[in-house]
Amino acid sequence: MSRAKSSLVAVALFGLLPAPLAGAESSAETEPRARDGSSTEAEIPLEGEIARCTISVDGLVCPFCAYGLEKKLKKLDGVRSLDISLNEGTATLSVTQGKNLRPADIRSAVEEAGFTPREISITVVGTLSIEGRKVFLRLRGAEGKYLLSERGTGEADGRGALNEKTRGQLSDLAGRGAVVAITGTAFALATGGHGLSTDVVEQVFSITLDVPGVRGEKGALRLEELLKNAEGVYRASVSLLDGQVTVESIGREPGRAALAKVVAVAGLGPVPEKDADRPVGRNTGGEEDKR
Amino acid sequence: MPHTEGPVPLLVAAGLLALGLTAASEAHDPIFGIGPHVIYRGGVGIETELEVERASGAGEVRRDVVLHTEVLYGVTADFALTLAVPAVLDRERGVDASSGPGDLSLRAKYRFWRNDRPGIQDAAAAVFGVKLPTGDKDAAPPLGSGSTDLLFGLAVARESRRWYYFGDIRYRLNTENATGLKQGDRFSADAAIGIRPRLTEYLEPDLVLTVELNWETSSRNEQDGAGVADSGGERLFFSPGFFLTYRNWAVKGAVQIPVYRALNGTQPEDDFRAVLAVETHF
Repeated sequence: MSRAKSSLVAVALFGLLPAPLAGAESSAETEPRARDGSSTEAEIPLEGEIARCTISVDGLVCPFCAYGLEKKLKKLDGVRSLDISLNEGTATLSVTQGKNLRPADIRSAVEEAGFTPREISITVVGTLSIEGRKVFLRLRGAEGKYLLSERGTGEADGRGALNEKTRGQLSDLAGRGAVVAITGTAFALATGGHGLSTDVVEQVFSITLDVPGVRGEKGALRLEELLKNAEGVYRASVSLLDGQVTVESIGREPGRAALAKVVAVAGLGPVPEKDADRPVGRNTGGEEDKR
Repeated sequence: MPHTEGPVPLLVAAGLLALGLTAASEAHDPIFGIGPHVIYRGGVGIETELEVERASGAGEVRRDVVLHTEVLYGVTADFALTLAVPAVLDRERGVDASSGPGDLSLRAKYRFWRNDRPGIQDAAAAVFGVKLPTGDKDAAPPLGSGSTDLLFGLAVARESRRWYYFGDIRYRLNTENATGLKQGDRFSADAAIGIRPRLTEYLEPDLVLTVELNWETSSRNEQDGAGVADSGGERLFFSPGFFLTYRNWAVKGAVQIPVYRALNGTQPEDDFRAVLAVETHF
């Protein structure tokens, strides 16, 4: 083949490239869908206080490939930190306070990384209320509530079926006015409204520390950021009014010693001895930031 | 350096078949074959690969040391483009030696099928490439083939947390250069298996060990339409290798050892080919 002809062939073959580009581009720009083709239109937006979001990712095999997943998920607005587990096949996002993540955006990010998103479970923080046989998780910091239901009981039917052990645990927590964190999969109810499966039920614990030396908005923000990044801390808020910081953690009590170290790193403290840590109850849960 | 006539330029051209359109591996793809892996959408990768090749026999020793630099870009999650720029650091053919830029290559890879399950990814991709005559074909020995050549490939793989399985076929369609030389077309088939001895988590160094079988069959070169006797033939290589990665960095290497050859006429025979590469994505 002459050189001129071969160059023409090369140009012609490259001209075919827009075909995969067009097909792939259009699929990326249309309404995100699960890999099995099911529509995500029925998914509700994640509302209220979302502490964590765990995505089951199919095809997640190697660390080098997982870097693309890290890049795509960290770009989402509201992602505070990310933990990828190859052995579990999951990516867990910590969500910035006050931010919401859309399931469609999460699915798109996973697909653009070259994987298939399977299930998205969320950890929602709120208080419990019991209405007859139904138990609801009322959102903290937002309107709305989730009907809690055991997974695999036909959750979307609106009955809110719970096994007796879970019901007992939730009733006990509701009676104490506890703030809880429920991990499960959100779904739309056939009867209208939102449901959440009760895969994991955890109590939210808080500790309030006196922190001498906290000055000004900047100092307060810096201390909050340092505390939020401490291991196990879910939420931290500083009150300049009384020089106190309230730290919440999910499932276990915040470690006073570890928090005291963080305060010291911030050039503040020392933290004086206080009463024992307590779970977040009716009098302390849901407090707004005080400055 | 004297420019020798006769069969030497043809042998040099045959040697160029081993380079130029080498489809350098991406991520955990085979080193010498091709795999279906592509970089994520919007991702950019840079790979630098040092390749050393030696052949001897028929009264001659051939040696090539080439530094390949590749830039890849993820147009979509399933479609990637690669620009490969080789720099020949040392090319020796008997008493002749040369160095300089080689033939530039452009490749497109389209992953047209993927099946993801927990801990497993099955995929298949088509590859198309073109090698442009940018290397100096008048150097002694030549740094480029002087021809525009095409590559077509098909790759399939199953990747899991512990095991990797790859298979691919490739066809190189060579064209005639200005001196009337057409290198023989080449058909290749590769199979590879890999194992991750220790299942690591994301932010840990990760090691995968691989073994490839690479088979090539080349038709005879043609000079002005007439076949060249001492060219073409079949070769089979056994190629152990490794991938060591950490987050977005990868170091990989492999050695290609000839285990079978049926070459036409009298030609230098491959002694070995070795590759060491560093790749990063961002």
